[in-house]
Amino acid sequence: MNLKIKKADTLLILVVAVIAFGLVAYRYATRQEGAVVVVRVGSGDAARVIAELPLTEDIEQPIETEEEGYNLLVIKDGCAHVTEANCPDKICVKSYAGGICYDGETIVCLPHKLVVSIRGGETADVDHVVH
Amino acid sequence: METKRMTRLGLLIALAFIFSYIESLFPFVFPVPGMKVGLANIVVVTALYEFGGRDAFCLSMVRILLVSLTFGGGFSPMMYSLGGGILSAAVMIFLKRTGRFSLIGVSVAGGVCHNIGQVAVAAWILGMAELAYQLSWLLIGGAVTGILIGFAGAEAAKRIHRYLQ
Repeated sequence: MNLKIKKADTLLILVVAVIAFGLVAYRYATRQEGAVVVVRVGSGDAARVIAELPLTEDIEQPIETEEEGYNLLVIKDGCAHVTEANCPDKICVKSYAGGICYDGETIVCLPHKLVVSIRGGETADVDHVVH
Repeated sequence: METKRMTRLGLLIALAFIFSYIESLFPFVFPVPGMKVGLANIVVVTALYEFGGRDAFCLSMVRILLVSLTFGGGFSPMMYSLGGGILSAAVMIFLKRTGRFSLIGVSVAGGVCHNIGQVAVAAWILGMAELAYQLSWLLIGGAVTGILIGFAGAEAAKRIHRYLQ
């Protein structure tokens, strides 16, 4: 096995790094304050928004999804977190350290087809809309 | 199918399956959602170099099916994994064939494409193109784990090479 790093390897790694860090930097530079937490369940056309909550108000909201999925959404200090989930990998609980706080950020629980996202704009029109 | 190849594939699949299981036992927590070390990919990369693309592809697909049916969490995680697995294997096979990349480059492309495939399937199933934003950190994660997996795969291939003739 000849493990000699070739020019193309270096180039590939550089290209990936530039694209990835570029995306991160772009997101960071253009981020805007969040206002509303949007909870969305289901896939494709069957997806529906089940709750819209103001980011300014601390709350603990259990969420039940299809096939007995359970997640606990916590809004605290202007950020949203998922602190409990009964899926096997618990990525939505573990991976989003610090929660999501800015417009466009999302927490995804893939097994439950749950997407929690932050929307910017005015909070005034939202007051615990739970569909 | 030749008996020898069948036996070999069986062994490789068992090994990859065990690697996946071991990984599932350790709560590796990465700050990047969806990031994984992907220990099983050591077997895929090694198989690609020692036995060729066909074996590597078969082994990757069967592993994903087995993991999904046992401890992987069912149908929807399987779709995401298949998206990642198919894209990753196809790109690795192609890049290896061009002859311009070493095993490290091939493995990095595999890691990155695994993440792209998964996020693409997730975005498609959930109908949310915005999910593509999740890719930024995942690409970096895929590249880093790709390098690690590449070195491990090269070592493994070097060590088992002489027993495989």
